[in-house]
Amino acid sequence: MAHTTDSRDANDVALGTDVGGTFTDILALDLKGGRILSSAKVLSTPQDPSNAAVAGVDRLTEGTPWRAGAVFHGTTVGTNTLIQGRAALTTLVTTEGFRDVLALRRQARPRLYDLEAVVSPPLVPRERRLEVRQRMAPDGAVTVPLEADEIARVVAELEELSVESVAICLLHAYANDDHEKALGEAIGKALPDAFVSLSSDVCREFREFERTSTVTVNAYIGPPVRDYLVRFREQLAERAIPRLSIVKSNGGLTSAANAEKYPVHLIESGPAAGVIAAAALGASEGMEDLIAFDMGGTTAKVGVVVGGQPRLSTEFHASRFVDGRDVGGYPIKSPVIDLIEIGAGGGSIARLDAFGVLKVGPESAGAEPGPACYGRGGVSPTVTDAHVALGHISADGFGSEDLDIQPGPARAAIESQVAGPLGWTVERSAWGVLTLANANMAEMVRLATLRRGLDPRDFTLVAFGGAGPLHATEIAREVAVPRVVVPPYPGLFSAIGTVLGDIRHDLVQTLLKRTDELERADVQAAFAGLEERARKLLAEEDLAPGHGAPVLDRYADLRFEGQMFEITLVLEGPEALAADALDATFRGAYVRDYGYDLPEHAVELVNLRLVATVPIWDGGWPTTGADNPSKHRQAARRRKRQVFHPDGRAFDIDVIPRYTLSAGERIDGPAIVEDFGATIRILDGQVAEVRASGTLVIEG
Amino acid sequence: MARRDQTIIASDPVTFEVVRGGLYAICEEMKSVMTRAAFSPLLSLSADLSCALLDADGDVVAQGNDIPVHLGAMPFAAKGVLARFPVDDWRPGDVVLSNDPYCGGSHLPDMTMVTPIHDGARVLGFAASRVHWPDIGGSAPGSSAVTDEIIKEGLRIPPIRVARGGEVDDNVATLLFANVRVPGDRLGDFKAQIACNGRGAERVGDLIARYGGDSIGKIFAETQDYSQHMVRQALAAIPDGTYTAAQHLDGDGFIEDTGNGPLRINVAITKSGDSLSCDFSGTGPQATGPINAPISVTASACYYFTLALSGGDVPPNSGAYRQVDVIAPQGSLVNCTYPAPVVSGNTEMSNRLVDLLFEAIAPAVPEAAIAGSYGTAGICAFGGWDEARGRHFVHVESLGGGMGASRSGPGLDGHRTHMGNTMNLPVEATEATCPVRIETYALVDGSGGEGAWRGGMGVRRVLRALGDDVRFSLLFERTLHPAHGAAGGGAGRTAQFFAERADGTRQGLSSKTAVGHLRRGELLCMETAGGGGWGTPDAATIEIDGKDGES
Repeated sequence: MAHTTDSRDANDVALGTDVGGTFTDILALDLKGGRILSSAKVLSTPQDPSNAAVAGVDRLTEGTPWRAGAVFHGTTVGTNTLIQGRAALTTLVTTEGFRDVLALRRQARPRLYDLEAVVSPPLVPRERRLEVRQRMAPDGAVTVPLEADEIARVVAELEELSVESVAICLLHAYANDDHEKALGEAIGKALPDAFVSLSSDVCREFREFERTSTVTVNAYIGPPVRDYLVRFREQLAERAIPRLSIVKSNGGLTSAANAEKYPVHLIESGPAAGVIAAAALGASEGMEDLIAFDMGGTTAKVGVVVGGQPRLSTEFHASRFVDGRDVGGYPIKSPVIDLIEIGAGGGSIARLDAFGVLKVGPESAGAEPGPACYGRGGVSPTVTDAHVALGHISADGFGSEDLDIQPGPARAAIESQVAGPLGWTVERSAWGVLTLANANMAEMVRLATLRRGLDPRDFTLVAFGGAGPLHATEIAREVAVPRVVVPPYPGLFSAIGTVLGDIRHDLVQTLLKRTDELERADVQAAFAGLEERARKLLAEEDLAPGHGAPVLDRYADLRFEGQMFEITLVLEGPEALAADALDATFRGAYVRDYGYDLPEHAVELVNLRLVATVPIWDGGWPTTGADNPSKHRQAARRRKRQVFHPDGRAFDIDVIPRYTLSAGERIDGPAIVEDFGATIRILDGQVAEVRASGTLVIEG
Repeated sequence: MARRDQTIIASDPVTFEVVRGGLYAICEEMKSVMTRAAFSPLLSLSADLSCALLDADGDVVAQGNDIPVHLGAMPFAAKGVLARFPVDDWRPGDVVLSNDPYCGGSHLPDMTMVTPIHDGARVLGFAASRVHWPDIGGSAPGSSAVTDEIIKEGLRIPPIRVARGGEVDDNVATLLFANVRVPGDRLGDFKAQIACNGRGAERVGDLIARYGGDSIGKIFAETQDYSQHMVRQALAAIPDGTYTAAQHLDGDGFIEDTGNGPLRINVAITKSGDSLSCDFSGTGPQATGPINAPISVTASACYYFTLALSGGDVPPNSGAYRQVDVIAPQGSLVNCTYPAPVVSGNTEMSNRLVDLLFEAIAPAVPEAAIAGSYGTAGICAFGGWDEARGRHFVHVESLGGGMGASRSGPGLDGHRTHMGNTMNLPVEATEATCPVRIETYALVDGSGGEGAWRGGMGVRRVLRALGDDVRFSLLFERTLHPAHGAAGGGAGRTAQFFAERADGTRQGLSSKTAVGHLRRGELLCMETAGGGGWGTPDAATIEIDGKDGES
């Protein structure tokens, strides 16, 4: 390893890793040149996902002339800990009279007609939920003081219990965190090994169930996530890689040190990276409004980018579906990339129900035995089998050395489970499976756009993941999205996204007050508190030298008094903080959104939000020029392959290896473009154009 | 594996499933339009609204995951609308409004709006929504008071056309908004509901443009057949016979019934082949107070019962209801006639009818029958003068309770059950807007009935008045009659309500307290009932498998 022959220093190369269910993707990005140097796919290691990531690091850095300065990591460790229940023994400390808030939830049951309805069990059982005598009013005034002997009693009780982790959530702590802090300090002193989370620190918002749930999830997954990150950092340190950055649910990045304290902010880390990548690709291609469509083996995910910014939601329900059944899940109040996810992937199983109606998913053949076409013993027909039966994917083009695609078992599975019972041909049945799978996914796109007041006709769909490009063009047509974009390396897209985010912290402070009772000083003081918190977090960011000052964006959530939902407004300039300015801006926004004002109604300020960002990558979309396409052009052959219409008619279609394409080239559909690990279908009537970046833009 | 010749679907089974899924998604989309556009005291009653698509006969084709008591009654309302406005009299953009419990409505605050879906000149079906307005006039704010006739409950609206070809009739709107409290808010809800129905009609229009009106019409019918067949299959597995039960309600706000009074509900369920009849003969006469159920509410309870008995996965629509015959004597508690007041038939009677039906069917399906639940929507309303903030306040919320245990586990603790599904309101939000402090919001230990699986626990909510003028009203049940156990399980604990006065005395309160009054520092304590247990307690060893986290 001749480090000296390369002028790049360690700060110039970053590794991005994204951990998926089957594969962990990793790539090396030259930050100065904006170029992807190399990439790899290694099998995931669910027992400790960092093993696969480290193996990937070793694979990429072996024998290279450069040294990596940082690893950027999209992780599912938070979600996995929650789902698999391998979490910490957690205790909740809460205000007297309210230990059952976690069990009472919002009292609505998730399934209406289910007599055997279940809701997600509280993460902390009742005997481990301790009450403490103290009380505050909504404005933070203390109505029952927290006495020293009460603190001592709680600490003694905790010492009796076996405690790895403690969540503290007191009523109205969003308004005054004194009592939570006092308890936290005392507990930290008495139980120095315990992981202690305060609701006023993790989620400074009103609504006690959601806040309690959020801080409880934080405490519950805290120790395992911390251990994971510590192990990962140690292994990187052994390899002289100093920095580890983690993708958060909000799409931003943070240091491992901050991530350890707020693991609840990592729950959607993995899926967020794909949406970040979509936004970055769009920015470099001049597209601001995007639908990020990611389809893999078991799930499909849709996120939306509006005006270049990923759309966020302020609440997320983790572990909401168990065996396809809605059980409510665990609400997490924290900005999270607004994602819709369904159990539809290449492995989704097709079957007929008792009345002869075709269903696809949510059951999946998974990686083992996998679709019937893998020839590993799978007998249930899957979405992938339907593509194989129709000729969309074939043994010679699948792009994976490990997999041998066999049309025989695929057709046999469709014949026995669907075609035979329906009295249909295999081809018609296979089209039926795809039509239904596409309809389910098109509904996700409608949910992500129409039901959020967005018009899909204004968007471009970015397709990635192993199966995304196979389905994207048909889904786009179904929902009238005029354009589909397939990035280079669609299978690595999320891994690329891990490297492209900003350092970002979203902070919130509830300040429930009518605008006509609000002083500008209240708002200023609250923002000053938020800025102080942001400074502390940024100090832990371990930023490489040369980064500019953080960008601070201010927002306020307002509503008409009595409403339950708020509108979030951007506050620009100091004059926007005045109460009458807040009032006027809100009314203007309300008229814009709903068409009318309610002049007799008071306006209420609910939350103030501060978003602190530090951009760390501004190089646009990285180039992927490692391979020079022209050198392959002669060897690569365009060829014809037989595919099938729904009526069973066969016809020949152009099959084009993607690496033979050059910038500016146009492809008229119908055609199939084969990439490594992904197949792109260009439909009849569509035209694809190859951009300079290698991105394929399909219209029509 | 089904052979093709067994199917009941003549349409291409792929198109059928694509369209059917689309219809249910459209109902959810309608709801999202409503919740985004509505002025929210509606939402402060916690998303108390429901959306559906109907065929040209007014039968439900698809519905949202909404409020069962709304949805079962929807076809009654639609048929009432169609009786007055025949199907060939509709133009695109027409809107008909109704809330009349004596014409398919449930209670006056539930406003039903119907908008046609056209295929060319022909009406193929309707988009319909039912939205709970926080006020529809009447003797008290909130339109939920105890009175002795429906005229005192608020403005009664038989089906009237409020918009023609997209133009709202100003005369009608003027009259309507002159008769409700806070008319500005209600106008916002009214407009939002028109937009919600419009979206439903537009999206079904897209399906018609793509697949053709005939295909969509056929799938409307087949969607109902599909659900009907699922119900038939489930019912066929239940032994034939006639199964009976009788229960009494606590009171109607005028009288109490300790078990031998007139507030008796009776049912004889006859299961024969693949259909059911629910005969309520022998039920007491309609009451003076508002616990009476119009036939639409009684039928809703029977439909809910049927869907739940069929396993909970049947896509709900009118097809699922075809196997059920409801027989309810006119002028009784379960089929009241004008001018009986009905406002809490929806919240009390509908839930008790479900418990009654499951108690009756238990001998036929001893495993599958669920134990009794807390039997109410748990409505408590507060209002008065807020000295600290210098203004009037009104606050309404619903309280959960214990759900009955089932064969597969304990009943849900402190949740809404059966016919309603509204959310609670955060304590932190309530305290920020009302002069009260909530001192306890907890599960009631030991309130769930004993059993192999215990019943769900009831809820205790204690609040202290922070001002001298806090008035309250309560609309609850089961202070006198506990939720029954199933399969040998024990009954749940009864509900109780009391005020603790400044001098320390405890004053017991009726489950239907019209107007109570608290002064500064006084307490109101509400405890809802627990659910019944399932199975004999001796078999309690199975509780160890971790499902019972709250014991």
